[in-house]
Amino acid sequence: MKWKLLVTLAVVCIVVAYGVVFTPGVIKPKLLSLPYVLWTGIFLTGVLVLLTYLGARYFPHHDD
Amino acid sequence: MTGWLIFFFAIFIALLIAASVKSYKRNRTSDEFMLAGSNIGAILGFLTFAAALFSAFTFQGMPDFFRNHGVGAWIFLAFSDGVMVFFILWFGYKLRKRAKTTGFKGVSGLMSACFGTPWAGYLFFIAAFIFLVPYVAIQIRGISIFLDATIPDALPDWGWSVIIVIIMLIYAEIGGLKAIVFSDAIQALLLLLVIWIIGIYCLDLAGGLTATFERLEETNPALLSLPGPNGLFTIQFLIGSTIAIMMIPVTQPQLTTRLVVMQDLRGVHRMAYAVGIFAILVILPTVFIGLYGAIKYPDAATSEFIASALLWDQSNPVAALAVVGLFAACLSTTNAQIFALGSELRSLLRGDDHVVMRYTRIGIFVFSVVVLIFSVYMSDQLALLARLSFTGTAMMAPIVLCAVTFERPPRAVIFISALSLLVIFLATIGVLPMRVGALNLDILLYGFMLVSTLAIAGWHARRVKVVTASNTLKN
Repeated sequence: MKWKLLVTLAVVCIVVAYGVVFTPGVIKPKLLSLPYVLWTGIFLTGVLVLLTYLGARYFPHHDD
Repeated sequence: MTGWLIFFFAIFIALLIAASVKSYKRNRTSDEFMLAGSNIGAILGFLTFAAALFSAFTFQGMPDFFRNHGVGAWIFLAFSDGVMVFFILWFGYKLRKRAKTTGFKGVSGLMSACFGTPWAGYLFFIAAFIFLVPYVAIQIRGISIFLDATIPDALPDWGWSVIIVIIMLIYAEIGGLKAIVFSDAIQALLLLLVIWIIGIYCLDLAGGLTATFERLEETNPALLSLPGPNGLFTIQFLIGSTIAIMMIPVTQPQLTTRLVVMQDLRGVHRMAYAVGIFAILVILPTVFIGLYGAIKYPDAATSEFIASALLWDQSNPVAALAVVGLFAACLSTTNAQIFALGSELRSLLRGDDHVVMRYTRIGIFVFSVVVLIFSVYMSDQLALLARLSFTGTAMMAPIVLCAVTFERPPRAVIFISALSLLVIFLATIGVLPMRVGALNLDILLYGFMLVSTLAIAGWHARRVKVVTASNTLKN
């Protein structure tokens, strides 16, 4: 159940990133002087890595 | 700088020799030589995977990408790597499960065994050969540019390439995959250290983070948003890159093999998130180097920018460390890829172990010569050539994914992969266009592969169900 939730979250993260967040021509809002695409990109990459960490913990199968 | 160069090279060579001695074993079996006894732990697995993934292309190609095309380069590689590491959780499990039941000598051999026809293996091998050669050549080309700038006129361009290939062949011959894994570990740590030292220094030279972005907003604001000043990073291009990079562990044999030779699934999963963290850490300083280049060397050629930012603008010890770091990166990645091609060849051969190993060694030598020739004639567009390699091998995704998903995978997917490979190859050599209407060819092919593979897989699953039910009734 937790694994399926994590897969769903990862898919949502990718769809939201390309569908909504990564918008052409946008520089603002900035964060710590980083332009919009860069800080959102770093943030979403961090989210995916965090989901991978959690996915590794809750993956439902093991080596036979 | 020469003194520092000799000092760091001596340390690096001593580490390589130590790794070779540690890996060398008399009378080892071909599996011990080619697959490191399938006993790699999580930490070593993570370092070797990271080193095979991040190489001269990251060190040189990514700063140049940020300099020319702006911050969208982060999405191109780092975000895509994030997607890839998540995908490894599932794919690593399925691949290892399949490799355990079918046996594993290489991905091509695994494909032949799963589909029950050697053609699946031949197809995978051809794709790996065609599209890994430019990727391997990138590494050699990158370091040749760098060494030529460091010690000008000492050797012709190809002279440096020959030296690298000879060291690589000797090293691989002595230690096999285990030695390569050790050298990967050294390289990954060295790469991370060097790239951060240079990144921080470049950021300092550019006046700090805020000043860098303020300056770029005045001079070239297009670098700070999508699609970048040259219009490269369109959403379509980035989605295509994400798919291609997500498929790297599936279709690039040097990485697929690393997922199989690890000790256990837990180690593979730990490796996955560790590689994700490593990706963020290793790509971040390339942003600083690239944007520093956009301010100081906006119109310079790639080689001029790389030599200036990584060498001439640095202090002598750092410049020397950069040369050794890049050399190590090039050596281990090239090694991993050429060796993987050797493993693929071996997995297709049948017969006595000694004879197979002899042909494999000849194969590794031939691949090295082909790569060497290619590296002399290729362009300086390192990052774009890497993407081309990822896209080309991604055409093998339908056969690999069906092979790990189904007990008896549908053979029809071999035609889907073969057709896609043919189309991308013809487009690469200019016979077919890279765009069809408003769509990039890679996106079109991914769509075609996805829809047709799902249709065939759905039909195949139903058929298997019907046959199983009918057999149960008969019994």
